[in-house]
Amino acid sequence: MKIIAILRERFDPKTVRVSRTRGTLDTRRARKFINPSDKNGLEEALRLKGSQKAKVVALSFGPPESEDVLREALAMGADEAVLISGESLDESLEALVLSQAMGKLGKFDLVIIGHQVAGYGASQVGPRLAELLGVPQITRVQEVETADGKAKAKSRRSEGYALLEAPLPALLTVDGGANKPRYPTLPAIISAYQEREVTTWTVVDLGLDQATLSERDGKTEVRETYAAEEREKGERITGDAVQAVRILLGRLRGRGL
Amino acid sequence: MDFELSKEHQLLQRAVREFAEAEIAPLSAQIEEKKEIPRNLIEKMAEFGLFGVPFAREYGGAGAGEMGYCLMMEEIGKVSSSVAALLGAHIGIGSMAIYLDGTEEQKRKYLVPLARGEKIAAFALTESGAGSDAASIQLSAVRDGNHYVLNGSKIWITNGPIADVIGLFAVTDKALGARGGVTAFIVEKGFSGFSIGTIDEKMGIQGSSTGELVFEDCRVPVDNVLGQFGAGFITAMKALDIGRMGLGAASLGGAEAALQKSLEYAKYREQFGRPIAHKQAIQFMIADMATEIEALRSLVYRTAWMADTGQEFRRLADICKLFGSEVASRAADRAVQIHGGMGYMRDYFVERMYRDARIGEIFEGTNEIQRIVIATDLFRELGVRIRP
Repeated sequence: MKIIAILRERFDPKTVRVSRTRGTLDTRRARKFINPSDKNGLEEALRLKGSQKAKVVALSFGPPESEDVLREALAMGADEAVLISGESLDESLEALVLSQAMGKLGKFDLVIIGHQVAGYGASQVGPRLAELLGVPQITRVQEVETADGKAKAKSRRSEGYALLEAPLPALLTVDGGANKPRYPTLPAIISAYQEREVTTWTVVDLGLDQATLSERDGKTEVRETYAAEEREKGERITGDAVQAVRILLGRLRGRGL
Repeated sequence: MDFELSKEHQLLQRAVREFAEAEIAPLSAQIEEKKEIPRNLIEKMAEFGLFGVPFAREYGGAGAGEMGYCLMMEEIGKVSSSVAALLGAHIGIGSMAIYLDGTEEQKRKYLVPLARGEKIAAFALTESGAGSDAASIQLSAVRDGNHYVLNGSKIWITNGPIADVIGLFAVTDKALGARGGVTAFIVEKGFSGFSIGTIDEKMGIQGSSTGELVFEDCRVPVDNVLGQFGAGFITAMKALDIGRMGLGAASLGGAEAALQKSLEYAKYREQFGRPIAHKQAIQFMIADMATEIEALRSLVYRTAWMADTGQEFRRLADICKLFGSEVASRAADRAVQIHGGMGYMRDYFVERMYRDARIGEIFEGTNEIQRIVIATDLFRELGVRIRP
């Protein structure tokens, strides 16, 4: 089985300052990392590799520095790493570039990508890529297993989960926090930089033209950006049922309900 | 001049930080209370690769060099001095002695499982009559056919009670003393005649296991002589160079944690209607801590860089240990002061840190010995031979 895990380098939100007045992000002192849900996707791919014979190819599209996310993926256990070096594009073109890369990578069984990207929370690349590849997709995956040429996934809904199946090849978008990504071991980190290879392609290698891409870029119109409202923290009441109900009643009475 | 860490060291630093925060920090209170590092944590640490950071990958290490070792010790030092002590004794001195002076066979047999964390190492030099005056050790080794027979005891040995492999220093020629009369041996815990004596109760680093090692006609094969016969003191000093640098790195981490806790507390604690962060008395302590931390960081990283580039770094390693341990103690002391009554409460992080920091000024050579060694080395350049 061949699994393509797509990784995007993004700013670590913890290091980005949000301007509440302007609703914009200040990234001047920010540090970059693997987009969290992409990392969850890679972990899901590596778990599949652990349970059956599979090859995991980490794929990233971005500036040359994005190579770091691929080195980290190699350290975590990816078998191969491919960087498509190019300037950032909007989501529809990013999906196009990735679909072309997929063509060059050959036959695959699964494509795994994070559901959302950190920062602005965009989530179109996965679904668009599935359309371009002409494969079924399961979004917001929490867990996946493959058997008999099918992917069986637990997919998150606003309330609860749906258990879905799709014939392979298929594309999955994995929810942030779906799993706990493994640590790259320390020997693997050093080896990822000193011994492993990252294959680099340009958009031209994929039969695309940077000028045409740039021309078509920016068609996504940003209507508005705003800071998410801070939600009140929930409270989990634990203990035995009788006690928990008593506490809950106390809370409700306290609020005059 | 380039102060940027290599990409691999940056990733190693981040990975160790994440591991330390997620896997070690939540257990630090339990480690303190139970006075031991849980076995399953040691297994996780081994799997992650913490036990062999500086050693070459062909010997089961990470191949991250001394810079990688120091970055690791710094991150571990932030969350648990007990775990830092375990790793410092295991890597910096215990396994390091075998890495530096072991034969190829000894490295295959002993270093590989040590670097993988399958076995734990200790370094045994101190005796009841020989601490700072390390050349006065009494534990004797006498040849008997294909073995040496060891008699005597070692005290206050970090990791001693839990170690599988011990780098041990014994007298093989009393007349020659430190100059040719001390030999290093690799001792396995299963060797006949070897036993654990008193297990020590300490002021701090409660999770670190420290104790007495007793040798009664303990038979060690001649193949387990480490380094050249009679040159054990040189082996000990070379390993201690790395150990002291790593101790400086762990101290750096401890001091950084003290500063971080102090910043958080000063931001939150209100007196006279405002957070105490607004008081200059607090600001001055914070600024002094930050200043010393930055000086220490530059010192430790530069020393590691010199070690990795094959330059002479002994004096700097001694300075790392001396300055680092004192910076950590001062930072812990200030952190307690900033926290006020809270800082004095048992089982609160800074109270533990204050007790933990104290040992840094004592083990791996007291700070008084470090000062003498540093001064002796400086005077030697002027042709003055300082006598003890």
